[in-house]
Amino acid sequence: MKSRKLLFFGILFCYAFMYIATSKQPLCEGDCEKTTKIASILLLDKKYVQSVYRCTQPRISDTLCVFVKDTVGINWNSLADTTCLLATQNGLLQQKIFVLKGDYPYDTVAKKICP
Amino acid sequence: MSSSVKRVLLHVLIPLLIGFFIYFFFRPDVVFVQWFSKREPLISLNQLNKLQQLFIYSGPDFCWSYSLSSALFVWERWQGSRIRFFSLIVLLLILGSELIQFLLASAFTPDWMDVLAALSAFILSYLLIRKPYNEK
Repeated sequence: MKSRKLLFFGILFCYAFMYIATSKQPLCEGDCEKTTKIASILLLDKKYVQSVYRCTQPRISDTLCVFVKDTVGINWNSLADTTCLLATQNGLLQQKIFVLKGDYPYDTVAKKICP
Repeated sequence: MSSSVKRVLLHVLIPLLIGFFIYFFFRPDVVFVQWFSKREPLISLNQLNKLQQLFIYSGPDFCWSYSLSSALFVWERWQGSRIRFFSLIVLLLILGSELIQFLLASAFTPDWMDVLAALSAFILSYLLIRKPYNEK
């Protein structure tokens, strides 16, 4: 009796999974597309960059956080400048850039307000 | 091959496979296809006529609903006794899964044709699997 009930709920679970798996992939366009582009350039170019994303709620804001590994000998202000340049090139103006180092609680090593 | 296995293969697995192929080749914007590969549809849906578009858009809903109804009716047979109002429960489940899409429109593609396709799938499954069992 127990295995029959289990099978019933197993069937429902499988179909629920398929139902969710056939939902639409959320589109990444507009602000999401621009921040993703900036992130991919920085991640590819600079090995010490861990991630780049909007770090305030709501997700669409003017604050961009660059999370970096604790690495010696890097000019973090220069990284903030580069991020600013990329943001401006991608149409994101007057962004607030924060470069955050290490693990939580993060250490803010550079910040910049872009033109 | 026993009749139960044949029933599962024909009424449960094959419809699922058909729905899977439609998504994979013609509607790759859904989550599970994106897991495998970020691909483009084989053909632009604007090039298709109304009937072909109906097959691409409502076909997967028909297949999923038919497969789910059949799986539950086969399960009911397998567990040995008829359950009161079971068909009604399955119908509500099928219609509910389509109607809830109108509330979650950003994640799904709600369409009254899909609701109709799901209802037809339920009726077909009922006639082919549940009704013969009722008459025994």
